[in-house]
Amino acid sequence: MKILICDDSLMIRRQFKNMILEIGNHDVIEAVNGENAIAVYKENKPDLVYMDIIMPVLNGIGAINGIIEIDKNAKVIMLSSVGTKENLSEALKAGAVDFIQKPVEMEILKRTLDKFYKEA
Amino acid sequence: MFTQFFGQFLLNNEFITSDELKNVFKNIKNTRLKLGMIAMNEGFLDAKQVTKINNLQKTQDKRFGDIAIEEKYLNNNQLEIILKKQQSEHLVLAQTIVDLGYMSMDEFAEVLNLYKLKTGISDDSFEELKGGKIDDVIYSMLKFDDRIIREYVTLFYKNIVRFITSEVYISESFKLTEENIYNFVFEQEILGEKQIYTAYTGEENVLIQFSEIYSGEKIERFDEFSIDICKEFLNLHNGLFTVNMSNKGMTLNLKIQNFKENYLANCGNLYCIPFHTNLGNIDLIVGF
Repeated sequence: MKILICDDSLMIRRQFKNMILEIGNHDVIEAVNGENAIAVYKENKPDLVYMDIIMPVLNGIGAINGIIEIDKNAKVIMLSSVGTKENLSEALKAGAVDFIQKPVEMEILKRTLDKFYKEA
Repeated sequence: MFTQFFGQFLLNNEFITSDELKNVFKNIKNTRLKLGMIAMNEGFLDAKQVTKINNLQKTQDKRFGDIAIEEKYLNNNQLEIILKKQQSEHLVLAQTIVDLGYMSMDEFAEVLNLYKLKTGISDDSFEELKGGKIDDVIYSMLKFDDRIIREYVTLFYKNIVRFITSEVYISESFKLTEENIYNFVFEQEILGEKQIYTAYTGEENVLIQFSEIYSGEKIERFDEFSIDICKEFLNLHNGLFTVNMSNKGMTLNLKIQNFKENYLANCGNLYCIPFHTNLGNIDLIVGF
């Protein structure tokens, strides 16, 4: 599966990439903010996107809107330390398919990967 | 957590040297509490009875508890109580200090009373602290009344313990003045129903170790990557705080976190809460 990780933190991108590669032999690509994520999505058409919310230039919610415009079937999972009801509801409204609270636990990541791997 | 707070008290009041305290922390994990010490602490046995049981143990292949029951010094209920308390944090600390020869048991008991007196910790709070609860002890160090900010500081303490180091204690908060200049500051604003300015600072060598532990990566320099890691820690902490507040019905949002050099406190209502860790000092700054 081709997976896009979008987070402004290099540490999160590295850790998350390592966790994904530990679970399976996936192709992981990265973006550093929402605007970058839209461009990377357009070029690479990943099967799954993990998207942070609070980012410079364009935040995660704005990025989902942009990605859904390109591909209405895009599968975007929000990945944030701010797992509030408000953010969850906003993310789902924007078109996200799931929400993961940071710090990410291996089991939860594995569950989302398994779920969307079957659909990809 | 009692261990860290009380250890610091011993150091500040020169009951123990810095090297001795380090040695205590090093040895504490290997300390197994002696039942005699717990029984004395509970008032079930006196020192004479404990010595007698210890002497009997030298001639009989029996456990301390079995002999105490045989000699009718303890009943079964009392034995059960002291067995349950074998992991009691303050007793493990006492045992380690006594075993290392830095204090006698009597001296430890005296210093413990002085600690309660000086810190103004009530007996109830002290019991909670011994049991690992921390809120009241942290609150006693904060010189402001804002309940939400107190919760914020307590969560920061818990996150330092959870993600960085369990060897941490805080000292009294103080108001920042324009004379307080920090070399490196990580900051993030919390907006919404309550506006809070949050930041933390530390010296370069502390932040290098801090970022290494938090990321699990080898960090040798204070560079873009270690700055990114330190910023992410604040973001994670503030995110967890925001979630806690949201669960209590308060909606908050986070702005993007920043890194600043040569930071000068220029707001009238900023408080600093010093966190002392085995890595060095981390100052938490809150404005509200």
